[in-house]
Amino acid sequence: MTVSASISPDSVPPILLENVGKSFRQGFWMRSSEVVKRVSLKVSAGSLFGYLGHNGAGKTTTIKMLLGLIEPSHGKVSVWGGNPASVGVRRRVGYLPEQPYFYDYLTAREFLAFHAELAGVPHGEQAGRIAELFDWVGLEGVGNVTLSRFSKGMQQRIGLAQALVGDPDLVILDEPMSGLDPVGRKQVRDIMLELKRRGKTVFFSTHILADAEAVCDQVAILVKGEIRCTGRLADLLAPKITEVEVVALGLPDGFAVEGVLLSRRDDGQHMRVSDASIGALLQKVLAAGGRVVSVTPHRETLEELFLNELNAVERAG
Amino acid sequence: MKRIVAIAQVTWREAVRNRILYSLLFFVVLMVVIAAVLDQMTMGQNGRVVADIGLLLIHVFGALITIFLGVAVISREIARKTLYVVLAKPVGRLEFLAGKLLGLTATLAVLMLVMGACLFAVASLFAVPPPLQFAWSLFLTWVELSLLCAVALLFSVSTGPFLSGMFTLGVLVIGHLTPGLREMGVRSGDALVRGVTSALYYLLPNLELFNRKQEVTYRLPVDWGHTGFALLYALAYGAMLFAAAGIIFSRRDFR
Ligand SMILES: Nc1ncnc2c1ncn2[C@@H]1O[C@H](COP(=O)(O)OP(=O)(O)OP(=O)(O)O)[C@@H](O)[C@H]1O
Ligand SMILES: [Mg+2]
Repeated sequence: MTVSASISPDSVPPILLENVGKSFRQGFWMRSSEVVKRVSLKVSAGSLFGYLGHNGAGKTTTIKMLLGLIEPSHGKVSVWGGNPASVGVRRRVGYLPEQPYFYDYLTAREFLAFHAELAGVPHGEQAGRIAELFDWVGLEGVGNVTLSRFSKGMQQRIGLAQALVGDPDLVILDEPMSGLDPVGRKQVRDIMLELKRRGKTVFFSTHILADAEAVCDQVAILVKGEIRCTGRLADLLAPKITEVEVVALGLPDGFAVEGVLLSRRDDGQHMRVSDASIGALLQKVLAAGGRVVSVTPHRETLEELFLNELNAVERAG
Repeated sequence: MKRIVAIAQVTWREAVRNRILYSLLFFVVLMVVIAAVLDQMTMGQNGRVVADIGLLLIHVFGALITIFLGVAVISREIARKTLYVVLAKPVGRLEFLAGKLLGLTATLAVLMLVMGACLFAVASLFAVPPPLQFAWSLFLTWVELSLLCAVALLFSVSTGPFLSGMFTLGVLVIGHLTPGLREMGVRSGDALVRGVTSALYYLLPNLELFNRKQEVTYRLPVDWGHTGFALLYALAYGAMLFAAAGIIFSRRDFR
């Protein structure tokens, strides 16, 4: 890696992980198990970055290292070029934990005012900022309700508001959509896109791939503590058209082609073939007197990529 | 500093809204009943004993609240994971601890004030206690309880709530016994016994320093030299406890 001599503040990546690992000692014998292994990752400013992994992959552990809540066993974690354990670095970071637990004896407004104070929002701006956030996360009219009476989805929303109250340049969200209804998920997606539009960097973890596919520019796939692949979603998925689905009508009952999966449905005969043999199949369909209704190329979905990576690790291990 | 105050304020709100202060009401009622009963039993005493017993009750009751709140304040944050979002903000771990300690001592100060005022009013029905000595004794009790808070913080950043509570209770009890124990050790003549009792005396806080109830009972003049020493002692000991708690807390992983 080459580093240019004149680094402008903007070119400092919001998140840079170099060979980061974390081991926990657990169990009666205090055996050490490596939960995150040699993770290297660079998130560039202004991107919407999805950190994907199965349950127990190490997403939350990585995120806690990004906030200085736990210290890496080895490697280097930099956030905006500094160590997140230092207070100054965290001034530019907002965080939503995975299971949001808050001081439930406070009202929503007291809670946000407290966090605005911690984040260093000037007193004069606090009330306005809080009102704006209530509106943004969809919690209008519950400012005076104590958090103990909040539903799970409302907790998630107030958690999001708390993360954004200091107007951070980097927002780190651990499973921001969990516990939300479809409307809520859409709202959170919109909030993330809006943050990106405002030039913020958003780093979020999820195991719901549709959510990631809908908003991310870049992803990293974490399997058992190791990054299996990382990059722009477009680059990871685009070049591979895996299969083509052909639907045709008017084919004779006995119609069959070697190597082609057939299934007869109400709207016609469905056939799946590899990209390479599509020409041959179409010729055979036409020769048999069939009428082609549609030809749909199937790109590799994030889900397939994810499952492939998971399987590759499973087979190797 | 603003952040420390904000954390202290939230700590105060937690204590108030946890209905701890409702037990205050119970205490006040208890005090009135006890005072009335005592008045019946000790007619020749001019009701002096009411203030005396009342101050002892405030001490014991205050100590129990201190242990309860002091241990819960950190343990609950860790167990319920509420401190994640706080520590992820631009808040230092020492600031967090300082805010908690400040909030606790402020809560205790209010408690002592309310309980003290009630006791003074009730006691005055029988015999008006000497106001200066009364306030002074209460103040030193508050200093003792604040020191006990720092003890509770140190334990609760290092271990679970049950052990922390037990240990803090132990420090409270032994801290009041050490001066007597040391004297016993010196008189026993046994080198080992003397060594152990002196070690305890110097290691654990000497909480008897803050016990000035007899000045109220016997209307003795306030000993300002002693007060100065007790305050310095509490500050130095408290600073040490806080530093130790800070070191442990700063190194802790929150997983
Ligand atoms: N406090 C802990 N002590 C010991 N091991 C832990 C601790 N927390 C997590 N682990 C282990 O670390 C691994 C990764 O956990 P982590 O919470 O980072 O996963 P995750 O990717 O966030 O999973 P999920 O999608 O379920 O939230 C798991 O195997 C878990 O058992
Ligand atoms: Mg997780």
